[in-house]
Amino acid sequence: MKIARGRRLSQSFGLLLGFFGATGIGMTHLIFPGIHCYACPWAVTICPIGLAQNLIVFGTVPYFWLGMMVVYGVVAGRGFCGWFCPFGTLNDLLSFRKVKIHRIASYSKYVVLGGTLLAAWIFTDTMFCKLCPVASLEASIPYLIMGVADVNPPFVIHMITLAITLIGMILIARFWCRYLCPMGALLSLFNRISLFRLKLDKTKCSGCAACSSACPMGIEPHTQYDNHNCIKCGRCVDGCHLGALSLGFSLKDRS
Amino acid sequence: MKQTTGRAMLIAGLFLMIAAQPIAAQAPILDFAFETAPVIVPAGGDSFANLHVTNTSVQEADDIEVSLAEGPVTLATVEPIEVLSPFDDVWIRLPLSAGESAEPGESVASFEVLYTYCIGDMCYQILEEISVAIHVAVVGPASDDGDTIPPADTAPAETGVEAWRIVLPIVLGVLLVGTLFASHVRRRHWGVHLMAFVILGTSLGVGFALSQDQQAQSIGAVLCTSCVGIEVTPHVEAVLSADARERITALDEPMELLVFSAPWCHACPYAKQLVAQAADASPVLTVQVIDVDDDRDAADRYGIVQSGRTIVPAILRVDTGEILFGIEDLEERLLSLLGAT
Repeated sequence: MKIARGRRLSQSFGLLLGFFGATGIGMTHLIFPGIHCYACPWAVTICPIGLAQNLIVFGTVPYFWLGMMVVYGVVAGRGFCGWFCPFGTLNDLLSFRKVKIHRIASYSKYVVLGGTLLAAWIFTDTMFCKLCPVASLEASIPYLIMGVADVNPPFVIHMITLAITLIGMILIARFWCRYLCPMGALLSLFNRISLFRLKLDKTKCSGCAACSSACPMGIEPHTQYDNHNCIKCGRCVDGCHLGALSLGFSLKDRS
Repeated sequence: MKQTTGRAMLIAGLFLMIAAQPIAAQAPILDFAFETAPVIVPAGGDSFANLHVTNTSVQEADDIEVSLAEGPVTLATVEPIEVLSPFDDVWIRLPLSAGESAEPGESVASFEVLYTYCIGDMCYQILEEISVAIHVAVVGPASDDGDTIPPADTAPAETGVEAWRIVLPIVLGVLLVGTLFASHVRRRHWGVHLMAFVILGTSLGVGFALSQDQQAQSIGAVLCTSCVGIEVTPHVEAVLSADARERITALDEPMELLVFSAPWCHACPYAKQLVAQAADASPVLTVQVIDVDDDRDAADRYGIVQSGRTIVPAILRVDTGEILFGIEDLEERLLSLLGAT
């Protein structure tokens, strides 16, 4: 329960940072460690996926972007999905059905990431942003209310992608994070070297799979504790009555 | 007991932070950088020095004035910057001129920058001195027509791509792939972490040196309505209809339009084309295009910024202050803006 409380606090901080522009502060130089639309009227941080597309369009070698991605990856990897990302928090709130993950389908997020970058290069435009359900929720709807946007074909496309994602999230816990999120795909590359990690004490594990039924990503934490789908949310730690799993910062692989 | 001590320390820390504020508040909040140094000014001619001013704090900087303290040149009057928002930046163009008798060669010019900022009821006036190398150049015979003044902000022509610009991305890419591959073989080995730290250190170092953090901020601070799918990206040329052209030609009241755009905005060319055709149709209509990447201050001044975001494309009618955002039904909205309905 301690982990759940800490995570709520951390997710609240993610929301606070995501929408800090409500205080009147404009855009900063900080890249957000999750997927969060920079076009959102209250955003003070830059969306890493939006920025990556723009840098491809400009033909810039993205040193600053790469450095920040490696920082986030080394610090927590997909831990940001479970503990910080506002859209991840929405996924969390709609996590009703914790079904088992489809292992092969979970690689589709890498296709989304690759397709996003490739489309930016081919069309010299931010194509993913035009479909992104995060932008639908955080930019299209607020700008419609503000009178800057109109109900037009791009708005309708945004609403369709948002509706599909929301339905997916209700039917499958963390649907977006499992199968579609390009930022999750990016962070997952670092899951095996991230300092914040899930640890397993094999001497205490009985293999009862209580952790699996608690996992919103539908993986088996007692066998896949460094899996690219693990968002390090700690539900499995709370679900394990034998105390075999733990979360924390560690340089060494002692599992 | 431990909890009580922790809370007491937290409260004491908060008090210290609050108490330290007035002391910290007197610190300067602006960063200055000249675009080029030395600034070349021809003897007996004029030039410009472009000064980049960045507000590094959460407070607003007001009434930023630049004056010359000392140097081999003179500075013409510079319009003060009324407001510089938190974390925002602005370019100030300093018109410099050197007398015909100015001694050729390099020396240093000092400028004084005066500005104020307030925290609650407490306001502080800050005077900072900045300097830049000035190179007074002898102008050759070709300058007789007075038109050969070398502009200070012209970068030397590119003579080719430096080798590091090709080698470094390749090395970083290979290192990154190697690190990710190694993490699957030996997860959390010290060597893997060392490689990751080399990548992030090098990338961030080069990124900051190339001001890519500022580039990222500029991208985030401008909302291109077609880029995020708030409206359609037009792939056709804008053509003003004959009827609209006729109505605009009939206008007799002089008015000025400002078109705010960004070079990477896909909808902006459409807006610019349509407004240019309108200006072509009417002698009383004047149009000025403002690149918000270069002149964020103008967007701030004219209210193109909404919720901290500069929205492009935007068309402003100067005398009424009315603004059109985006390109949806632009012809119809433009006619209404001009009062030509």
